[in-house]
Amino acid sequence: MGGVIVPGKSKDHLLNLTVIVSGAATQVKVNIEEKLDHVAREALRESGNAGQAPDRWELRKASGELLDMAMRTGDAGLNDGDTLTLQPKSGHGGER
Amino acid sequence: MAGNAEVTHVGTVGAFRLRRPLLVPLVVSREKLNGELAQWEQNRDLYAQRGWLLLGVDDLWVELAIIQKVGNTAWPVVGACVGLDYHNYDLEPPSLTFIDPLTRAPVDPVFKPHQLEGQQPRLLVPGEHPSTKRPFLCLPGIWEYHSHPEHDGDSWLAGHRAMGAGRLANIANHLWSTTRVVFAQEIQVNMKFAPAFEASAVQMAQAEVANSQPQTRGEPAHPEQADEPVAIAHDEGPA
Repeated sequence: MGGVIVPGKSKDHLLNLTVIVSGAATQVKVNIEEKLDHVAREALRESGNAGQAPDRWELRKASGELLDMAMRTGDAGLNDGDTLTLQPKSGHGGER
Repeated sequence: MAGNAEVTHVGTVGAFRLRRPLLVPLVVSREKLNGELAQWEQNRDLYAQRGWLLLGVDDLWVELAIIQKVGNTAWPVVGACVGLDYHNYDLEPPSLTFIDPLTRAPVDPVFKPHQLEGQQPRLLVPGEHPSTKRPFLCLPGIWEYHSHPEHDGDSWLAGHRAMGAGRLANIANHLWSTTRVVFAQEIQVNMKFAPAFEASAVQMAQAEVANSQPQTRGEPAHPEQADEPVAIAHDEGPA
Protein backbone atom coordinates (compact mmCIF):
# COMPACT_ATOMS: atom_id res chain seq x y z
CA MET A 1 0.00 0.00 0.00
CA GLY A 2 1.39 3.38 -0.96
CA GLY A 3 1.40 6.71 0.81
CA VAL A 4 3.70 8.69 3.01
CA ILE A 5 2.60 9.18 6.58
CA VAL A 6 3.84 12.44 8.00
CA PRO A 7 5.24 11.82 11.51
CA GLY A 8 2.97 13.04 14.28
CA LYS A 9 -0.20 12.86 12.18
CA SER A 10 -3.09 10.71 13.31
CA LYS A 11 -5.25 8.32 11.34
CA ASP A 12 -7.67 11.20 10.91
CA HIS A 13 -5.18 12.63 8.47
CA LEU A 14 -5.21 9.59 6.23
CA LEU A 15 -7.57 8.94 3.35
CA ASN A 16 -8.16 5.59 1.71
CA LEU A 17 -8.90 6.24 -1.93
CA THR A 18 -9.70 4.06 -4.91
CA VAL A 19 -7.99 5.42 -8.00
CA ILE A 20 -9.01 3.96 -11.34
CA VAL A 21 -5.87 4.18 -13.48
CA SER A 22 -6.66 3.77 -17.18
CA GLY A 23 -9.64 1.64 -16.21
CA ALA A 24 -7.94 -0.52 -13.54
CA ALA A 25 -8.79 0.13 -9.90
CA THR A 26 -5.99 0.50 -7.37
CA GLN A 27 -6.03 1.42 -3.68
CA VAL A 28 -3.93 4.19 -2.17
CA LYS A 29 -3.66 5.58 1.34
CA VAL A 30 -2.54 9.19 1.50
CA ASN A 31 -2.06 11.92 4.07
CA ILE A 32 -4.32 14.90 3.62
CA GLU A 33 -1.29 17.16 3.94
CA GLU A 34 0.16 15.73 0.72
CA LYS A 35 -0.59 17.31 -2.61
CA LEU A 36 -2.77 15.49 -5.11
CA ASP A 37 0.34 15.08 -7.22
CA HIS A 38 1.39 12.56 -4.59
CA VAL A 39 -1.91 10.70 -4.93
CA ALA A 40 -1.25 10.41 -8.65
CA ARG A 41 2.31 9.17 -8.12
CA GLU A 42 1.18 6.55 -5.65
CA ALA A 43 -1.62 5.38 -7.91
CA LEU A 44 0.74 5.17 -10.87
CA ARG A 45 3.25 3.22 -8.83
CA GLU A 46 0.63 0.83 -7.46
CA SER A 47 -0.78 0.24 -10.95
CA GLY A 48 2.56 -0.62 -12.52
CA ASN A 49 3.13 2.78 -14.09
CA ALA A 50 6.01 3.81 -11.86
CA GLY A 51 8.16 6.53 -13.35
CA GLN A 52 5.36 8.11 -15.34
CA ALA A 53 5.21 11.88 -14.90
CA PRO A 54 1.94 12.85 -13.16
CA ASP A 55 1.70 16.03 -15.21
CA ARG A 56 0.93 13.90 -18.27
CA TRP A 57 -2.12 12.52 -16.50
CA GLU A 58 -5.39 14.03 -15.31
CA LEU A 59 -7.02 13.27 -11.97
CA ARG A 60 -10.80 13.58 -11.67
CA LYS A 61 -13.44 12.99 -9.06
CA ALA A 62 -16.05 10.35 -9.80
CA SER A 63 -18.35 13.17 -10.89
CA GLY A 64 -15.84 14.12 -13.56
CA GLU A 65 -14.57 17.27 -11.87
CA LEU A 66 -10.94 17.88 -12.82
CA LEU A 67 -8.62 18.18 -9.82
CA ASP A 68 -5.61 20.47 -9.63
CA MET A 69 -2.61 18.27 -8.84
CA ALA A 70 -0.98 21.13 -6.94
CA MET A 71 -3.87 21.19 -4.49
CA ARG A 72 -3.49 19.82 -0.97
CA THR A 73 -5.42 16.55 -0.71
CA GLY A 74 -7.27 17.82 2.35
CA ASP A 75 -8.55 20.81 0.39
CA ALA A 76 -9.93 18.79 -2.51
CA GLY A 77 -13.22 17.93 -0.85
CA LEU A 78 -12.43 14.23 -0.77
CA ASN A 79 -13.79 11.74 1.74
CA ASP A 80 -12.37 8.47 2.95
CA GLY A 81 -13.37 5.75 0.49
CA ASP A 82 -13.86 8.07 -2.48
CA THR A 83 -13.11 6.93 -6.01
CA LEU A 84 -11.04 9.00 -8.44
CA THR A 85 -9.98 8.41 -12.01
CA LEU A 86 -6.46 8.93 -13.35
CA GLN A 87 -6.07 8.92 -17.11
CA PRO A 88 -3.51 10.13 -19.65
CA LYS A 89 -4.11 13.59 -21.01
CA SER A 90 -5.38 13.53 -24.56
CA GLY A 91 -2.10 14.59 -26.12
CA HIS A 92 -1.96 16.93 -29.05
CA GLY A 93 -3.58 16.27 -32.34
CA GLY A 94 -5.85 17.79 -34.91
CA GLU A 95 -5.61 21.19 -36.51
CA ARG A 96 -6.66 24.74 -35.69
CA MET B 1 -2.00 -16.99 -37.66
CA ALA B 2 -0.29 -13.66 -37.43
CA GLY B 3 1.88 -12.30 -40.17
CA ASN B 4 0.36 -13.52 -43.42
CA ALA B 5 -3.34 -13.30 -42.78
CA GLU B 6 -5.62 -10.29 -42.97
CA VAL B 7 -7.94 -8.98 -40.35
CA THR B 8 -11.25 -10.65 -41.11
CA HIS B 9 -14.74 -9.85 -39.96
CA VAL B 10 -17.51 -12.36 -39.69
CA GLY B 11 -21.07 -11.15 -40.10
CA THR B 12 -22.24 -7.59 -40.54
CA VAL B 13 -21.12 -6.01 -37.26
CA GLY B 14 -18.43 -3.50 -38.05
CA ALA B 15 -18.05 -5.07 -41.50
CA PHE B 16 -16.90 -1.72 -42.89
CA ARG B 17 -13.65 -1.95 -40.96
CA LEU B 18 -10.45 -1.48 -42.87
CA ARG B 19 -8.78 -4.79 -43.65
CA ARG B 20 -5.28 -4.59 -42.24
CA PRO B 21 -2.52 -7.19 -42.11
CA LEU B 22 -3.02 -9.40 -39.07
CA LEU B 23 0.08 -8.94 -36.94
CA VAL B 24 -1.06 -10.23 -33.55
CA PRO B 25 -2.67 -13.61 -32.90
CA LEU B 26 -6.38 -13.13 -32.35
CA VAL B 27 -6.25 -14.90 -29.01
CA VAL B 28 -3.78 -12.33 -27.68
CA SER B 29 -5.83 -9.31 -28.70
CA ARG B 30 -9.01 -10.96 -27.42
CA GLU B 31 -7.40 -11.64 -24.06
CA LYS B 32 -6.29 -8.04 -23.70
CA LEU B 33 -9.65 -6.60 -24.74
CA ASN B 34 -11.59 -9.01 -22.54
CA GLY B 35 -9.51 -7.88 -19.58
CA GLU B 36 -10.42 -4.26 -20.28
CA LEU B 37 -14.08 -5.14 -20.70
CA ALA B 38 -14.04 -6.91 -17.33
CA GLN B 39 -12.55 -3.80 -15.73
CA TRP B 40 -15.15 -1.66 -17.47
CA GLU B 41 -17.86 -3.80 -15.92
CA GLN B 42 -16.40 -3.19 -12.46
CA ASN B 43 -16.53 0.58 -13.01
CA ARG B 44 -19.71 0.62 -15.05
CA ASP B 45 -21.76 2.70 -12.60
CA LEU B 46 -19.17 5.46 -12.43
CA TYR B 47 -18.82 5.54 -16.21
CA ALA B 48 -22.60 5.60 -16.65
CA GLN B 49 -22.80 8.70 -14.44
CA ARG B 50 -20.48 10.40 -16.90
CA GLY B 51 -22.51 9.22 -19.86
CA TRP B 52 -20.05 6.57 -21.08
CA LEU B 53 -22.17 3.72 -22.41
CA LEU B 54 -21.17 0.52 -24.16
CA LEU B 55 -23.72 -0.05 -26.89
CA GLY B 56 -22.41 -3.40 -28.03
CA VAL B 57 -19.49 -5.78 -28.01
CA ASP B 58 -18.53 -8.25 -30.70
CA ASP B 59 -15.33 -10.09 -31.58
CA LEU B 60 -12.57 -7.47 -31.12
CA TRP B 61 -15.18 -4.81 -31.73
CA VAL B 62 -16.70 -2.37 -29.24
CA GLU B 63 -19.40 0.23 -29.84
CA LEU B 64 -19.27 3.15 -27.43
CA ALA B 65 -21.53 6.17 -26.96
CA ILE B 66 -20.79 9.31 -24.99
CA ILE B 67 -23.86 11.10 -23.67
CA GLN B 68 -23.56 14.80 -22.94
CA LYS B 69 -25.95 17.25 -21.36
CA VAL B 70 -26.62 20.37 -23.40
CA GLY B 71 -25.50 23.38 -21.41
CA ASN B 72 -27.44 23.84 -18.20
CA THR B 73 -30.44 21.92 -19.48
CA ALA B 74 -31.45 18.33 -18.81
CA TRP B 75 -31.31 17.50 -22.51
CA PRO B 76 -29.11 14.46 -23.07
CA VAL B 77 -27.61 14.05 -26.51
CA VAL B 78 -25.23 11.55 -28.04
CA GLY B 79 -22.08 13.63 -28.15
CA ALA B 80 -20.03 10.88 -29.75
CA CYS B 81 -20.65 7.37 -30.98
CA VAL B 82 -17.80 5.22 -32.21
CA GLY B 83 -16.86 1.69 -33.14
CA LEU B 84 -13.46 0.47 -31.98
CA ASP B 85 -11.60 -2.32 -33.75
CA TYR B 86 -9.10 -4.10 -31.49
CA HIS B 87 -7.42 -6.35 -34.06
CA ASN B 88 -3.64 -6.27 -33.60
CA TYR B 89 -4.09 -4.84 -30.09
CA ASP B 90 -1.93 -3.77 -28.48
CA LEU B 91 0.95 -3.96 -30.94
CA GLU B 92 -1.21 -1.38 -32.69
CA PRO B 93 -3.77 0.93 -31.07
CA PRO B 94 -7.47 0.39 -31.72
CA SER B 95 -8.96 1.77 -34.91
CA LEU B 96 -11.82 4.21 -34.35
CA THR B 97 -14.76 4.82 -36.67
CA PHE B 98 -17.48 7.36 -35.98
CA ILE B 99 -20.80 5.55 -36.33
CA ASP B 100 -24.48 6.39 -36.25
CA PRO B 101 -25.93 5.31 -32.87
CA LEU B 102 -29.04 3.94 -34.59
CA THR B 103 -27.78 2.26 -37.73
CA ARG B 104 -24.19 1.72 -36.49
CA ALA B 105 -23.00 2.67 -39.96
CA PRO B 106 -20.01 4.99 -40.46
CA VAL B 107 -20.92 8.68 -40.39
CA ASP B 108 -19.37 12.09 -40.33
CA PRO B 109 -19.76 12.95 -36.63
CA VAL B 110 -22.43 15.54 -35.89
CA PHE B 111 -20.43 16.96 -33.01
CA LYS B 112 -16.76 17.13 -33.82
CA PRO B 113 -14.38 16.78 -30.87
CA HIS B 114 -12.15 19.75 -30.09
CA GLN B 115 -9.30 20.49 -27.73
CA LEU B 116 -8.79 23.83 -26.11
CA GLU B 117 -5.34 25.40 -26.30
CA GLY B 118 -5.86 28.35 -24.05
CA GLN B 119 -9.04 29.83 -25.50
CA GLN B 120 -8.30 28.54 -29.00
CA PRO B 121 -10.27 25.44 -30.05
CA ARG B 122 -8.39 22.83 -32.04
CA LEU B 123 -10.44 20.59 -34.32
CA LEU B 124 -9.69 16.90 -33.79
CA VAL B 125 -11.53 15.62 -36.87
CA PRO B 126 -9.50 17.33 -39.58
CA GLY B 127 -10.84 15.39 -42.57
CA GLU B 128 -10.61 12.00 -44.24
CA HIS B 129 -7.96 9.51 -43.31
CA PRO B 130 -5.92 8.53 -46.41
CA SER B 131 -6.44 4.80 -45.79
CA THR B 132 -10.04 4.60 -44.57
CA LYS B 133 -11.37 7.59 -46.55
CA ARG B 134 -13.48 8.37 -43.52
CA PRO B 135 -13.41 11.13 -40.87
CA PHE B 136 -10.99 10.17 -38.13
CA LEU B 137 -10.17 11.21 -34.58
CA CYS B 138 -6.75 12.79 -34.71
CA LEU B 139 -5.48 11.88 -31.25
CA PRO B 140 -2.62 9.71 -29.98
CA GLY B 141 -3.83 6.26 -28.97
CA ILE B 142 -5.95 5.86 -32.12
CA TRP B 143 -4.75 3.78 -35.09
CA GLU B 144 -5.84 6.43 -37.57
CA TYR B 145 -3.63 9.02 -35.84
CA HIS B 146 -0.49 6.89 -35.70
CA SER B 147 -0.92 5.56 -39.24
CA HIS B 148 -1.39 9.03 -40.70
CA PRO B 149 1.61 10.26 -42.74
CA GLU B 150 1.66 13.52 -40.79
CA HIS B 151 2.21 11.67 -37.53
CA ASP B 152 4.87 9.17 -38.55
CA GLY B 153 7.21 10.77 -36.04
CA ASP B 154 4.88 10.05 -33.14
CA SER B 155 4.99 6.28 -32.81
CA TRP B 156 2.40 4.38 -30.81
CA LEU B 157 5.20 2.27 -29.39
CA ALA B 158 7.17 5.29 -28.18
CA GLY B 159 5.35 5.99 -24.95
CA HIS B 160 1.67 6.05 -25.92
CA ARG B 161 1.29 2.30 -25.59
CA ALA B 162 3.02 2.31 -22.20
CA MET B 163 0.63 4.99 -20.96
CA GLY B 164 -2.34 2.94 -22.07
CA ALA B 165 -3.50 5.61 -24.50
CA GLY B 166 -5.51 3.07 -26.47
CA ARG B 167 -7.28 1.51 -23.52
CA LEU B 168 -11.06 1.57 -23.73
CA ALA B 169 -11.52 3.70 -20.61
CA ASN B 170 -9.00 6.24 -21.86
CA ILE B 171 -10.58 6.53 -25.28
CA ALA B 172 -13.94 7.08 -23.57
CA ASN B 173 -12.34 9.79 -21.45
CA HIS B 174 -10.82 11.49 -24.50
CA LEU B 175 -14.14 11.46 -26.37
CA TRP B 176 -15.98 12.70 -23.30
CA SER B 177 -13.63 15.58 -22.59
CA THR B 178 -13.21 16.65 -26.23
CA THR B 179 -16.93 16.64 -27.01
CA ARG B 180 -17.64 18.61 -23.82
CA VAL B 181 -15.70 21.42 -25.45
CA VAL B 182 -18.15 21.33 -28.35
CA PHE B 183 -21.14 21.66 -26.09
CA ALA B 184 -19.55 24.46 -24.12
CA GLN B 185 -19.20 26.33 -27.39
CA GLU B 186 -22.68 25.58 -28.63
CA ILE B 187 -24.63 26.21 -25.46
CA GLN B 188 -25.57 29.70 -26.58
CA VAL B 189 -26.63 28.48 -30.00
CA ASN B 190 -28.64 25.58 -28.71
CA MET B 191 -30.46 27.65 -26.14
CA LYS B 192 -31.74 29.92 -28.89
CA PHE B 193 -33.79 26.98 -30.06
CA ALA B 194 -35.58 26.77 -26.72
CA PRO B 195 -38.63 28.77 -27.92
CA ALA B 196 -38.98 26.46 -30.89
CA PHE B 197 -38.83 23.42 -28.64
CA GLU B 198 -41.43 25.02 -26.40
CA ALA B 199 -43.75 25.80 -29.31
CA SER B 200 -43.52 22.23 -30.51
CA ALA B 201 -44.16 20.94 -27.01
CA VAL B 202 -47.25 23.15 -26.68
CA GLN B 203 -48.65 21.87 -29.96
CA MET B 204 -47.99 18.27 -29.00
CA ALA B 205 -49.51 18.76 -25.57
CA GLN B 206 -52.59 20.42 -27.03
CA ALA B 207 -52.98 17.57 -29.48
CA GLU B 208 -52.72 15.06 -26.65
CA VAL B 209 -55.36 16.91 -24.64
CA ALA B 210 -57.62 17.07 -27.64
CA ASN B 211 -57.23 13.38 -28.39
CA SER B 212 -57.72 12.25 -24.82
CA GLN B 213 -61.06 13.99 -24.27
CA PRO B 214 -64.36 13.17 -25.95
CA GLN B 215 -65.59 16.01 -28.06
CA THR B 216 -68.77 16.80 -29.88
CA ARG B 217 -68.33 17.98 -33.42
CA GLY B 218 -67.87 21.74 -33.38
CA GLU B 219 -67.88 21.99 -29.59
CA PRO B 220 -64.86 21.77 -27.35
CA ALA B 221 -65.28 19.48 -24.36
CA HIS B 222 -64.35 22.33 -22.09
CA PRO B 223 -65.32 25.53 -23.87
CA GLU B 224 -63.89 27.70 -21.15
CA GLN B 225 -60.44 26.22 -21.82
CA ALA B 226 -60.64 25.97 -25.56
CA ASP B 227 -58.36 28.89 -26.30
CA GLU B 228 -56.08 28.58 -23.31
CA PRO B 229 -52.57 27.46 -24.11
CA VAL B 230 -51.12 24.53 -22.27
CA ALA B 231 -48.32 25.73 -20.03
CA ILE B 232 -45.04 23.92 -20.51
CA ALA B 233 -42.39 24.56 -17.92
CA HIS B 234 -38.85 24.96 -19.11
CA ASP B 235 -35.63 26.31 -17.72
CA GLU B 236 -34.68 29.77 -18.75
CA GLY B 237 -31.38 29.69 -20.51
CA PRO B 238 -28.95 32.45 -21.22
CA ALA B 239 -30.10 35.08 -23.66
